[in-house]
Amino acid sequence: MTPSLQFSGTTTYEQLEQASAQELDQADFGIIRLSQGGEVMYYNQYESDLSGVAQSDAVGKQFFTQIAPCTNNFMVAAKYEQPTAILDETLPYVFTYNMAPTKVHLRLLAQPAEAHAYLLVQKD
Amino acid sequence: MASEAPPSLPAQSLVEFINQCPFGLIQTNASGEISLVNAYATQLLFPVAISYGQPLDNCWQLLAKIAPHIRQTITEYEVNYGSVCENERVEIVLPPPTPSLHLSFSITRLGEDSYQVAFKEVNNVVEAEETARLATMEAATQAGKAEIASGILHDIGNAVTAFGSHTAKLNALGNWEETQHIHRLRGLFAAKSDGLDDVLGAGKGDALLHFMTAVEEGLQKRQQTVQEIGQQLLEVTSHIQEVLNIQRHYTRGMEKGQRALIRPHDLIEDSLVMVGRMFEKRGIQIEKDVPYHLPSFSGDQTKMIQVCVNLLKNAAEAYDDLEDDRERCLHLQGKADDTAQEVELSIRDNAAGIAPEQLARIFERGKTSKSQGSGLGLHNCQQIVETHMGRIWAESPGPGKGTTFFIRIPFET
Repeated sequence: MTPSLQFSGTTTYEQLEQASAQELDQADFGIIRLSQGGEVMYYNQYESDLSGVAQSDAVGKQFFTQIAPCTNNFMVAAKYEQPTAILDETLPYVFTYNMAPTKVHLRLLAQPAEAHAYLLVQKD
Repeated sequence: MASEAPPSLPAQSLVEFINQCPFGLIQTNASGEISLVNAYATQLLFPVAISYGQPLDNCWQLLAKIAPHIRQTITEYEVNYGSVCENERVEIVLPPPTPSLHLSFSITRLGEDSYQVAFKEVNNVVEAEETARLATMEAATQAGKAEIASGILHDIGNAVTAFGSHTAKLNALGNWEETQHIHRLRGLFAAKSDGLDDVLGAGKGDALLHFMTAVEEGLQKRQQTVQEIGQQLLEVTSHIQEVLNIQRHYTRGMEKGQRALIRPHDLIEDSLVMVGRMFEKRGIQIEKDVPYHLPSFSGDQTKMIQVCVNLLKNAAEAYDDLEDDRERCLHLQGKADDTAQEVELSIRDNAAGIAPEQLARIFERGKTSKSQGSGLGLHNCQQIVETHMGRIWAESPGPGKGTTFFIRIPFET
């Protein structure tokens, strides 16, 4: 059975907003739900397995400075600051899981005046 | 990279700890392939790698693009263990509007096939250094300007001294003798006016007298004009001197002074021109014995004239409190001491004299026996003479018996 949520553009911001915890955990890519201030609201199972950070440990922490400082630059983190337009960007990146460089693709999702933003992570 | 099972908790804490480190840490093999990298390294270097068209899996390839000299150093480092480089600054240009990234690299070889690349962002250090550099340059520019200004003030000062000297000579000319000669001649002819008509023709005697009157009056007017202009020139000179003095305050300490060869004879002559009137007014005779061929010394002409003028003024004023009618005479003498290679100038008056216990103290700053004046004159003179490698002192047999001031300065051979 294929997971309902997709990394690519077929899955929309609204679908992510409406997904349950179970649906988020069933995805075969990493999903991180963020507050407007960059706090982790939800850290899905796939991402937790990838990073080694327990889901409960991740929630409440600052994503860009505590969980994934490697994304704390103009390419990723800066794009989430007060978006004035709809953000839906996919880009290649390198995550440092356990100090090992891992090639990934990221999809950045945010909408102005919405409480949540999303970061999707797919291993290459 | 094959994904592994998540590490146990202590290792996880360590990784998180290292990920919070504000230094980039990368482990590579001898070919530069990255095996370990911390979050900060990725955070900083990934955008750089993208903009330089490099994947972030080989550190040497990236360094070849952003810091070829460091890449070269790595190649040349043959030892199996040690510091390849320390705190090497690299400026990485990024596409606008992103500002340049300044990193400082320290690379250590840990083994035959293992390197540790550590780096830190130093943008704020670079900025602080730039600010300091600009401030230093600004200070140097200001100092340079002050030095130029000081030089200009000095040159103008010299020129104005010479100008003042000539103007003083002009004013010292006094009343034109020619006017008086014409006047006397006219008086002579006027007494013999009858005879003039006989010699020159009827009515011509009067005409001649009128003509001579006109010449005399013309001369007087001309003399007056010249004297007025001379006086105005003196005032202008004085004014310029004041301006220079004020401006000198701002460039104090920058003066190097211009050394020229000073002939003692000319020094005395120029100084006398400036204060000669003081002696005339007081009926003081001046006897000079300063030969023209005395050896010259290297020095600051403006300052040395100031010294001599100061001493001469003091000497003139020393007669002011005298009540007797002794014959007032100032002796100026110059001689060369070939053994000591010095030229000696002396100014001897026969005025009030100085008590022995005072003699040693008259050169102190602030000391004065005058009812007016600030007492800075002699101290200043001493400082100037000393910058000429010379010395100045005074001798006096005692009160009422006159004073002699001596200056000795090494001459140029």
